This record gives sequence, structure tokens and C-alpha cells, in this order.
Amino acid sequence: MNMQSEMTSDFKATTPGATRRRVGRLKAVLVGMLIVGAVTAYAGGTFANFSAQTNNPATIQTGTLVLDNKAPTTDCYSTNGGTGTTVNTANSATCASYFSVSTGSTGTGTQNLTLTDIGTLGASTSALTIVCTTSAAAGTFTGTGDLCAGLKIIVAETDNTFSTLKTSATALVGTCSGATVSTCSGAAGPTGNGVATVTANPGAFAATTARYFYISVGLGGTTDNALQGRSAAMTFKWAATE
Amino acid sequence: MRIPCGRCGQLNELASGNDRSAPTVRCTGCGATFSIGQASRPRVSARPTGATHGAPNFLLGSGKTSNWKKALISLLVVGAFGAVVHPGGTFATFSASVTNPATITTGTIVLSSQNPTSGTCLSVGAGTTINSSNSFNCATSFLAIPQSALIPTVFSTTNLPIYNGINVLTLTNAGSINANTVQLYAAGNCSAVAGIGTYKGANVGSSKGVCSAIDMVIYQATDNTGATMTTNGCLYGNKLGTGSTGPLAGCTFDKNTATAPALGSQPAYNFTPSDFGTCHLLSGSGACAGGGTNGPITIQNAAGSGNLVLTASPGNSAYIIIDVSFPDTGDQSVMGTVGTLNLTFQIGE
Repeated sequence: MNMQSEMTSDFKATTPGATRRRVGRLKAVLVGMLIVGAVTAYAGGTFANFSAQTNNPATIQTGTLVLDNKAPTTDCYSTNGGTGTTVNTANSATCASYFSVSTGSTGTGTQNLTLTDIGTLGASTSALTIVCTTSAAAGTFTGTGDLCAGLKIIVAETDNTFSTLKTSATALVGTCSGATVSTCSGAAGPTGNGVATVTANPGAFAATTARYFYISVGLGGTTDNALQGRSAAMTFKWAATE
Repeated sequence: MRIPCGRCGQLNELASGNDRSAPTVRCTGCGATFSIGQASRPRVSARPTGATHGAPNFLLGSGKTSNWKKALISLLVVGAFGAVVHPGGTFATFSASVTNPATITTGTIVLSSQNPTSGTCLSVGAGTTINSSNSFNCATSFLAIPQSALIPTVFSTTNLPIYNGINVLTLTNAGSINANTVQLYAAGNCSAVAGIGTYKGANVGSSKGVCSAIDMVIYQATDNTGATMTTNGCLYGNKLGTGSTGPLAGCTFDKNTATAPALGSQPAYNFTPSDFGTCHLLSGSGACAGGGTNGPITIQNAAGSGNLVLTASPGNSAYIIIDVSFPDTGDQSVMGTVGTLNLTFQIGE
């Protein structure tokens, strides 16, 4: 009948003796099949049979996310050592110095940076982290001030002229009042040695699309003489994530 | 057919005469009722008629449902843990980064003032640490005027006590970057106070007494002898003077243009510490002697063609001569007094 009748028969187990006899016959059949199978395997295993098979290849190919840091004309890749095309595990490189400036109270170091994701994948997020460490400069006389905190930092995205802001009156670090970088004023540098207190979010990077950044670091005409004879070692880290 | 009760496990007989379309069984153990149709759907919970909320399921597959629940709960726990550990919500992703160093090093400018009597004085003081002001009060430039010079043997209008003092300052920049400006100004008004002797003059106060009685000249010389003045080197003094009243033509004391004072009177000199301390403050005001300009005096280079530049150490030097003549006056009340004028030299980038 239907399921219910099957259930009915299942639940109608007769006598224990009859059950044992059925199990015994089943065991004998199974043991016989095992013996035949074992002999076949020992003898070589195959018999004349028709057969057919299909193979389906499957491939997984990964894209790449590689930053090209061009400042101003030399390319530095995030790949192994900043050059070459091999992407190592870290995919992180230390590139050339943006600037090394010896200055008085009004000196400024600037850099025009072209940053491009030259891989095949876009980056959905990115971050700029600025770390600074102050130490005494070489020389007879040195101040004791925190030069990092006394710095004025501007990082602004521009068009390819490095002069016109991509978005008027907007900077990643610092503040701007007009359409060009000349209207920007710097934000205070990181306070505390080796501490990254200046961070910025450049946002997503489309693959193979260059972006341009104007970078400026100076003392802004400070009158604090304790900043004389000091050295500020900075790092600008640009990180992009798929 | 016997069916176990999902609530108490009691096996219950299903009578053959029951309606098969919707057979209902009442458990002989606990009295709960349920239908066979409900029991055949393992994921649907069926509660006995009249059972309270939370009563156990009567499903034959209720144990399978429990396993599903456990699996789902485990997944929820794993997900929640991942969210906490990696709140950004993303897991394995590709990334790339580049790092560029940059260095900014500041230079130093440190003013060194040297004179033959008090030695070298630095703007940083005794050590090598530059503080925020980078300013130091150096020793007194002038020797104390000897009392003997102030007390003539015969005192009359033709035998006034005279003392000429000269001081040579050698300025250099001991720092590591050039100083493109050198300025001279008074830190404050000249002040006359009572001296330390038994007898003291009564003419004391700000810009009074001895401050007004001294004739003063300041000029830049080509070397530390002070014998030759640089071009446009007269910083303070009578630029129209011929030199007969010293010290040099083109930068003389004011004696030759002023009327000699009568006994008991103050002279009418223009170029005095009192005038300098009023006119040439950092924020000077008022009329200046000889029509000079208020405020700090910017020292020019030796050729007189631009600002004096003190180059980084070891650099060039500038020689500044400060010369005073005292006291061509008949006012005896300036005796036993001390006049103080603080002169400040400041260098800048």
C-alpha cells in the first residue's frame, strides 16, 4: 500500500526464530560476495567491461593588488623590494625618501606623489598612516622640543598638476580654503615619539587608475627656539585592501 | 501498529478502525493526543491537545531537529566571535602597502657676544641646550667708572669730571645656519638708581640723572680695534659730526652740537642712554635723537649695501663699538648713582 502499510509491516515483526533465519541467509550471501571480490582483486582485478568517464577541469585564478608609488618620477611597487613583478607574502615595500630637508623655522619639504593600484583588483579601502620620531640633530647645540608636534603637514589629493585640488577646499591632512594647494594650511604633526597620531582615509582605489597627492611638511615659521637642532624622522605608509 | 509517544515514550496501539485520513492517538501513559500525519512531518512541532507551552514535542524526528538547532547555534557563535575578533567584517583579503620615509632636520642659530673683559657669552647660556627663548643676559659691557674720575681735584665749569668708556663686542653666529638679520635694540628704558657708596646722588629714576648725562655712540667697525668704521656703520650717534669730539668722524658724541651745561645743570645732548632706551625699544615710540627711526636698529653689512649676515659657524664676525662720554655736566646730583641700559643684539634667519 502506501507508507502506512509499510510501517504496519515493519511493526509486524513475527517471531524471533524467523528473524534469525532471515539474517543467517543474508550473512551467507554477503560472505560469498566478499570472497568473490577478494579473489578478483588478488587475480588482477579487471574484467572485460564497457566504461566511460568524463573529466572536467577547474581553475581558480587570483587577481592582484599592487600599489605603485611614484614620487615624483621613480616607480616603487609594493611587490618584493619595491621592484620586480613578484608579489611576496607581505606585498609591502619601503620606497625612497620623499625628502630630507635641513631647514630653519620656515623650511618645507614637499613631494608630488602619483599613487596607482596597478594590479587587476580594485582596493575597497585604504589608509594613510604618518609616524614621526624626534631626536637631537647632529651638532654642538640642540633644542629639546618635540619637532614632530611642531610640524605642519599637508596631504591633499589633486589632479595631475599637483596644484589644483581634486575636491575644492578638501585635504586628507590639513585644511584648505580654495581650489589649489596654495590655500592649504598644515595640520599639527604627530605628538609623541614614534606614535601614529596622524591618519587619513584616501578611500577606494580603482584598478589601474592613477591618483595624485601633494605632500608638504614644514615648520610654518615657528618661533619656538627649542625646536632648533632637532630631527624629525617620518614615515608615510599607504595601505590598500581589497 | 504501535507508535511511541514523543512525550513519555509509552507505546500506543493504533486501532485498525481509526480514520486513516487523520488518525488520532491518545497516549495511554500521559494522556496526550497526537495525529499520525503530524508525526510523519519531522520538522513540524506538534503539541498535544491541552498541552502547556514548553511541553516536549511529539515528533518522531524531534531529536534530528535538536541537532539542527545545535549546528545553527554553533554557526551563530562562530559568526559572533568572528565579528568581535575582526570587527571590520572582512576576512581573508589581498592587501598592498608602500612606505616612504622623510626627514626634516632643523638648524641652529646661536649668538656669541665677546668682549675683552667679560669673555664670550652665548645666547644659550653656559650649556649647549637651546631653550625656547634662546636668550641670555650677558655680563655688563662697561667697566665701572672709577670714582676718582668723578671727583676732580678742582671742580668748576672748566674742570668737569670726564670719563670715556669704550667697549668692543665681537658678534658671531655659533649655530649651523646663517643668520640673515642682526638687530640692536634696548630691552627697556635706561634706569638710574642710587649707588652703593655712603653718599648718593639724588637724581635717580627712569631715564633720569646719569642716563641723560652720558653721551653715547654705537658704531660698527671693520675690526676689533674700532679704528675704522664700516660704510654706513654709525648705528647711534651724531652722523654729522666731524670727529673733533670723538670717537670717529661721521659718528660723534653730541658735544659739538650741544651747548655746554652750566654748573648745576644737565646737558642737552641728544644721543644718550635715556634717548636710546626710549626710542629704540623693540616696539619703539616717540621722537628719536637726530631724527632716527623708532624701533630696533638693523645692522648693515660692511659695504653698507644690505643686511649684515652672520654666516654659520665658523663664520664671519661683526665688531660693534659702544663708546660713552661722561659726564660733561655740572649737575652734581648724578654722583653716586648707577645708570643701567640693557642693549640687546638679536640675530634671526
